[in-house]
Amino acid sequence: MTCHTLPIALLAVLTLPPRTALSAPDADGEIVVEEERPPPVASAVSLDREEIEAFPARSADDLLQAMPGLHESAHGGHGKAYQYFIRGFDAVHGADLAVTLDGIPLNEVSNIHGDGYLDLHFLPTLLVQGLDLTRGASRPDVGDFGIAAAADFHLGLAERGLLVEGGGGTDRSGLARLAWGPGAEPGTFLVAEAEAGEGGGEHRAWREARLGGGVERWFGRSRARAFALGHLGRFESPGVLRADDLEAGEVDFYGAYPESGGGASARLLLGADLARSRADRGASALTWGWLRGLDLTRNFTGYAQDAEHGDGLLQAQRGGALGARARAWRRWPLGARDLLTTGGLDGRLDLLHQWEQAIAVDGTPWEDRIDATVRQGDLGAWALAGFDPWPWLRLEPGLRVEWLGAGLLRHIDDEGAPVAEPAWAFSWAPLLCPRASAVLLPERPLSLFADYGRGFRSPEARGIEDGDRAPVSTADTEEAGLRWRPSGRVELTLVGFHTFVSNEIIFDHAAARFLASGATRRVGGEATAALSPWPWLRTEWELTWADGRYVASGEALPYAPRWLASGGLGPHGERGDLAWNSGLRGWFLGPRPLPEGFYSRAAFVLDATAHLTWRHWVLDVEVDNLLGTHWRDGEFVYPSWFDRGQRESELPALHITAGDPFAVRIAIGRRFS
Amino acid sequence: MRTLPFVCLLAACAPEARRSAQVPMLATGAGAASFPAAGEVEVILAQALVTIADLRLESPPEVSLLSRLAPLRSAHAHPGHDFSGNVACELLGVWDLDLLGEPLDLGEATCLEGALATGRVLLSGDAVVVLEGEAVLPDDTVRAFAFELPLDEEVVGIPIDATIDPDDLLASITLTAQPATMLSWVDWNTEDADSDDLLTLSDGLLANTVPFGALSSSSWTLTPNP
Repeated sequence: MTCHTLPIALLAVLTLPPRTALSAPDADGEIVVEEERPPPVASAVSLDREEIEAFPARSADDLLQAMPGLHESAHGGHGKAYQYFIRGFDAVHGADLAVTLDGIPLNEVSNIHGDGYLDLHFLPTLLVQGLDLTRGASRPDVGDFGIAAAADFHLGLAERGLLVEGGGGTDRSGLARLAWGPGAEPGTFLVAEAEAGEGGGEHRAWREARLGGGVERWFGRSRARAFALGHLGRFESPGVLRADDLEAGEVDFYGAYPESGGGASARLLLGADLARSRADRGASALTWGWLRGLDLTRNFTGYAQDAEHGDGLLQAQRGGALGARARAWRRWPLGARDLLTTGGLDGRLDLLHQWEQAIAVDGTPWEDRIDATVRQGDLGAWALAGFDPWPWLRLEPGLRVEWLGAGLLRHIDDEGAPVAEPAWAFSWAPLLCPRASAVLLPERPLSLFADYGRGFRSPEARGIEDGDRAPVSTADTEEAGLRWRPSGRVELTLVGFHTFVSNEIIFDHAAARFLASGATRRVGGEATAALSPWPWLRTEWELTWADGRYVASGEALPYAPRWLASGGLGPHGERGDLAWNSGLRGWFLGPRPLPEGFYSRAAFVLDATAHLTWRHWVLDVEVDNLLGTHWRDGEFVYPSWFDRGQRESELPALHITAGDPFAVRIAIGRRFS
Repeated sequence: MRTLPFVCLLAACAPEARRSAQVPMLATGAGAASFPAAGEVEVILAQALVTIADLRLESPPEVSLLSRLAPLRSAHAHPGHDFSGNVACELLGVWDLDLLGEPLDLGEATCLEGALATGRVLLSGDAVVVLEGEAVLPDDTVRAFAFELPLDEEVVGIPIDATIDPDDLLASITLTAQPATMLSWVDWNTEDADSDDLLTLSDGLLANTVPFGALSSSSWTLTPNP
């Protein structure tokens, strides 16, 4: 590592539980990494910028698919949060997946559309310098929504200088991008993007713009950073199609019913952090805040609930959040081995006003359903101790303590009438979440892992009762695995996991109440292989199996995938002035259990991406759905009534959302150093 | 869809989805045109017509738990009111049923594999139920009656104990209306308020008791025919 990578090394040390030990500066003042400790959990995956560039991803959301066993569904179209599935969990829009940006939590508590709503469209993929993905709940620094997995994006513009880029695609899209990185620090940048398109079908148009700026400065061993990211987007959503309408030829696979919806999204995110590190200790402090606006319109059932107006809904919210985080770590010499202690404090406050209205087909509101103000707070403290009692064993016990509180002020009652004297309802709950990891033979090519963790999800404020203990969802996960790394070019991992939820709590949005549906159990296994058979080729392969069931009845949990396989090839190299970094990635999703005894279809999709540079020129190529398959992105089972010329059926019917069709997008840019 | 061999292999290991079947549905009236009622009254029907629509049969309530958790439909706290996901058999249409006539072939219902527990049928229209005839009281007084009910409600909770198995299909399912039960809540001594020598819904409490009888689940049965 050289001097310009010093900030990157310290960044890795300061923002995560330390995995990389540093030595004292050498004579030239450079700090050299002496040792790289293996990650504490078998199911952790980290991507650097080079790997991110070679991963087919149109947005930061798509990058999460690099997590083995995670499947995403973009059934809302281009602009709405994805639906996530992992390890037998239907995490809806992020309810069981904690995602952060350099420690800033991105899940939206009590979002009107879904608790834990995760909208990553504000983050340009160009600014994703690294990504850490962890399955399970064994990391004590992971807080709310970290039930099944966690991801941490690292912000920075890797390539320096000025890039101006523009392009378009066969999906009727266009893109213009400007990225400026003066100096050497990746945290100093200015990025502007504008993107628009009609999509590969009906009612899929979108428009969005992103603007981001950051400043990074070093003062000796201290780093100060401040950044701002803004996003505006407006999008259409094709909604669902009845499978029987598709089979009858009444609607095209890439069509849409007239009742389909859309939305608009706006966000301004600000962050500032200060970090300092020495060879044996370090600390960091982060403060952040965001302003947020979201409008979503949808109609998934046609006229089944209201034959006159239709079942359209407008869900909207305005608000913001602010928070802070502090971290500290210290290495204590204990004879031949060190004790590494890490701890932190997290705090967050969310302020929301949200409402829901029934709307007619033309968008006119005709009934108020929800109008509420929410105040929600979260305080967390955690500690981790890492030590090697023997050379062949590494232990990392940890503990997280949390206090969750929510306040709700209803402006209208369940009938939609204004509340004469609105009164706040408050509810709160403390939590104790033990977490631990153990590694056997940590320094050997073959090492064994075992982890335990309790994850949790804060309650939706609209379901709380005043004075009651807040219904917090918790899940205990154990996993064990082995990692084999005989060389720097081969890494094989096998992991088995088990998750027990004592009482699966689901929020019924229609009745605004929590439904306790009983204990559930999820078991599964994952096999991954990362190979670099030649210096110019990376390959990754993953196979995941998960089975989730209600303990009492044995019934399968609906929607969560059983089988998921993915693999990719990443040719890269240089020849003279030409350099390339590319990726071909395919994934297979096995049939999933759906409600009412239905099963979804299997899907297989192949995507490709290529990033080429020649002197000052840049060429980016993205190919979606290389095989042009008609794959079903989302499948749901429920009654609906879209054709009022027919009598209304209440029989549960299969509904689908179409996956992206074949498309090619090309962008050409020029660098100015 | 083009698939690779290993995709086909894995897809072949998929569990079998819930199957559907077409089951013939019949409707009829039960009992004779003449029947005894409470208080030693003899009722003689001259006409008994019912217009029914949209017959639906439902799974047992415990099976519908997961459907309540489906993210795109509403849910209710109490079973029996939750239509989302509960319907397992359905035949849509409108039929005029003569309760004194021959059984009516309604057509074939689309049914999903599994158990059935209850059924419901819609009574909707200006003259959905027409019951006309005479009631002979113990003192041989004859009370002529003509009840024409405008309704727009469902008869719910009609019990049925059956299983849809595509490998062992039912021959049919019969919906039976019991006019005697429909009229069992009628007080045949009700005063003829409008002095038209005819008992109608405008007399006494008959505007409540006659519709109650028509919509009561005890006035209807669903019978699987193996």
